[in-house]
Amino acid sequence: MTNNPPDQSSQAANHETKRIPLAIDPNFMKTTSSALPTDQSDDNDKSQNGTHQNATTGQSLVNNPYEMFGSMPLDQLIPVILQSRGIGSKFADLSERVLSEEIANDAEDMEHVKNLDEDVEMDSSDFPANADQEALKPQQIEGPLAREEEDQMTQEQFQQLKNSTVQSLNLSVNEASLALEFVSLLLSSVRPSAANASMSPFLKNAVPTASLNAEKIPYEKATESEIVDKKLTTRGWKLRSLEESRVLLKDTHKTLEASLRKEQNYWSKVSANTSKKDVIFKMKDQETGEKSLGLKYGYEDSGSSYKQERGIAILRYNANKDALEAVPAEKQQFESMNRGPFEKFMRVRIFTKIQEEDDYILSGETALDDLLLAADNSGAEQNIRRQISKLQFLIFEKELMYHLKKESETLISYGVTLENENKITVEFPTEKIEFEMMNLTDEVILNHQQDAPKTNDRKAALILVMLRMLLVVMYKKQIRKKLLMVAHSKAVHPFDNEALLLRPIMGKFRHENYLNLLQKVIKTYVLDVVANSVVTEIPSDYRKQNIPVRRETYDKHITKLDDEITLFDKILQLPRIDLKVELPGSGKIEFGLESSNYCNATTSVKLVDASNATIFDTRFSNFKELEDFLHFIVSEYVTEGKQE
Amino acid sequence: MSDRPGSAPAINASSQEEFNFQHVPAQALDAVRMRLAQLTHSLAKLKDEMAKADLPQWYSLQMQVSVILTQLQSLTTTLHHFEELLDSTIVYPVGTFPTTAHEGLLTTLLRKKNIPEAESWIHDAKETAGIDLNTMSSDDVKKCLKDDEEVTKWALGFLKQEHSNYAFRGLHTSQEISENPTLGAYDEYQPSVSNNIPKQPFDVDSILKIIHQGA
Amino acid sequence: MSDKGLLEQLNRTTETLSHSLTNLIRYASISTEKDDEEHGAQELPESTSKTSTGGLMMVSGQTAQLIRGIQDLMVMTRNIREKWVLTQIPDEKADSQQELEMAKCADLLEEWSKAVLGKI
Repeated sequence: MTNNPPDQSSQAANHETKRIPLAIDPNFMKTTSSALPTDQSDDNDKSQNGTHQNATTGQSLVNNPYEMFGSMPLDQLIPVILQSRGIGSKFADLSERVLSEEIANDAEDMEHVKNLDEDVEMDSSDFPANADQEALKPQQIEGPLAREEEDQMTQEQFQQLKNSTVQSLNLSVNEASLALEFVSLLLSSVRPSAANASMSPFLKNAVPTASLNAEKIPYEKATESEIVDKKLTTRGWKLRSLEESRVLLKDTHKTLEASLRKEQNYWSKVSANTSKKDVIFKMKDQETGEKSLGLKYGYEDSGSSYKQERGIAILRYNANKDALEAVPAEKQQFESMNRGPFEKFMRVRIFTKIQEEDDYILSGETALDDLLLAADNSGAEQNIRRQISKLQFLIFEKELMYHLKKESETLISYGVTLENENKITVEFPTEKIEFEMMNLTDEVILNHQQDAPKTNDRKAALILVMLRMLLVVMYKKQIRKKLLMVAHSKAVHPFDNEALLLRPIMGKFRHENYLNLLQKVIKTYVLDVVANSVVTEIPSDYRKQNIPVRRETYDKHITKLDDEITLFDKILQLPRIDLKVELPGSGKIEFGLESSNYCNATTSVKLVDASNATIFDTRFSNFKELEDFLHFIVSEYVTEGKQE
Repeated sequence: MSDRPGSAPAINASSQEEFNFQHVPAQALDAVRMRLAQLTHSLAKLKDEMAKADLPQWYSLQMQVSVILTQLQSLTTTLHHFEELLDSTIVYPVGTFPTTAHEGLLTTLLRKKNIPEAESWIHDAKETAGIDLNTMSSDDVKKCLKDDEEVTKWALGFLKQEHSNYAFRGLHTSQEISENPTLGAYDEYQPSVSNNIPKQPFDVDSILKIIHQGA
Repeated sequence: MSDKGLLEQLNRTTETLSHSLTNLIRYASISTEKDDEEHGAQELPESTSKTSTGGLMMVSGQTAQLIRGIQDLMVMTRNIREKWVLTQIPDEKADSQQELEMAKCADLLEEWSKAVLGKI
């Protein structure tokens, strides 16, 4: 049972680069003698458990971490210690008392674990359930976990058991073969062929066949005392077997009943709280290694293509709280990669510019969603549906931020800045809007109710809601694309270049600004100069976009999607407005303000004189040029005409 | 042991004297021998498995153990069947047995005493019985044993009765069957029919439509 | 496993369970049952070997069968539960979402535009 020493050392070497729980484990340092460490700390990685940590004979075959770390300089050693104790520990907290408490706790755990598993181990070795049929258990009785802890039964005990078994087997083999020899020999006189088949070669050589003979004697009936004697033995033996069987049955009954109760709770909760519409499947729990049910809360089936997070949670049964928990599969991994806490939500803030101070004050803010608040009534917090909704909310927010960030990359020239990985700022002439991913900490939850309502709260909320709706529109477009995809030869490309979240909203604001500017320009250069000129807005016929001819043969789902997508056309369309200035007696000037990517502005100017002849028809992207041109037109054509 | 000087005259001797083997209970012995051979074989196999450095899976061991158990069971039954016959037979070596060379072998083969482990088990069993022959008279002892048997008989009878109360097959309870004996005469199980019966056969047009337009 | 198969298995398992229990008790008896043909009068006690074998069978054999039977039943229930929970398909008519009122939604969106821009 000795390991390859290189394996051990390479493992220890590997651990240098990762966590190194060994070195600080005082238990490990005791093993300089041959026996296994009798109590191993639970901190050891699972891989270590599989290999027997036989410090063989205390020679340099095993990397002695005590040596290694003893000679490490202090400034390297302290970070290693802190790292192994986990994030957030301080070196100042370590004291002899704390450490000895920890050791005592670990030893207790070990005992507890060992006691539990003695029963478990016996069960697993005596009564095999059909291994194939064990589809899924909330707690596997003979799962990989139990097997690891079985290794922790000391090597000595195991060897002892094994040796005694082998001894008994030896005895039985000897006795049985002896009897066999005897019978064969006796039989050899009458049926030599059969006898020879079962005699050992030794006997065949030693003793010629038919060396034993038998004689019949009259049958003696057993005496009373013999009978009684035998009956007594029988009774005793059977009593003992009954007792053993009783104990076995009782133990299994206990374990089975506990397991049954647990299962019953789990399944009844699952079936009560989930419906046909939830996507549930069998999954293996990453943390505990059990097989269990998982639930998908991500939006992939609805058209999302967010790959940063898988969106599945495992439905775990928490015996202490007697409730189901939905734990996202990657929560631990996420947090350990230092990406910050798992729960983040988006907040929109509007800042209005103060002219005098050239600074911004907060004029509007979105409030915390109800879902994220700790529920007041105690039962509801544990509610699994609430947990699922919360997870769905969080993943949606994360995806929203993700797409926003990608979109902002292209909008930098329009005043959008990506301040850090959690914050996007959009600047307008009079105000600034901030989109920030906030960590859901307790302070935030506590503080939210203390904010006084501000003027632009509603506006901020409306913007956030519209962003979310636009993301849903993106999903629907994606689904539509998938539905219409004919041959799935290529993967359905996610909407990298189609993210339209911030743009339409920004576009609306900017368009409004440009419109104001244009109107001011018109006023200054045309209306004020030319008498009696009137500006009117031409109601633009809502340009029906090229909707493909509604084929009646389209599936009803597609038509439904189409309807839903076209609902948002007004928001998503490129902004455009037409103005007409009537110049009395000199024709009219038509202005068209539009944008090609929501954020820029091109103005088209068309001068039509009194005789309906188009004199000029140009486009400008610069308002200065527009001003100059207007000035030119008016002075040249309009006033000149008047002069004529 | 290259030469066996005794064998040649021994064979001559056997050819001269006809031994009367008629009392050797051939049938019984054969039956016993067969079972015993199987048992020895499986025991040896299990011993080898256990002695290996890395043990095989526990369920294969478990299976072997149960096989051994069954074989043991059958052996004991045969023995019991022939008990009377075998009990009344006495085995003795004939002259051809090379006693000079293998005296120990003979005694080992023919011994009837239990090995010390077995003795200790039997002793333990007697102790567990909880009946001390010294303190109780034989009548009391017999009464104890009889009570024991009564209990067992009662238990068995009870179980048998319970067993007859249940109908283990079919879809009706035993009470229903006793009232109406025609129930359960045939297999009444009707598999449930699902509501989604696919249209048959597939329509060429709809398939083409799907290929060109998507779902 | 089909429904019928499950039913059959259930029947078999319960029957085996009751048989095992009966056998267990039978092994526990001290005196052997004798056929009527042999030795009607005197009851022969069991030989030690038969006793020991019987004892072994009791413990490992029958008890194991009992326990295995129960475990089989548990596995079966688990199977059935899984089937029930995991293979539900939403009914298209019953479970689909509510219809959107398109006109009302369009109005709401108009209002949104005005609200957001009006306050600018």
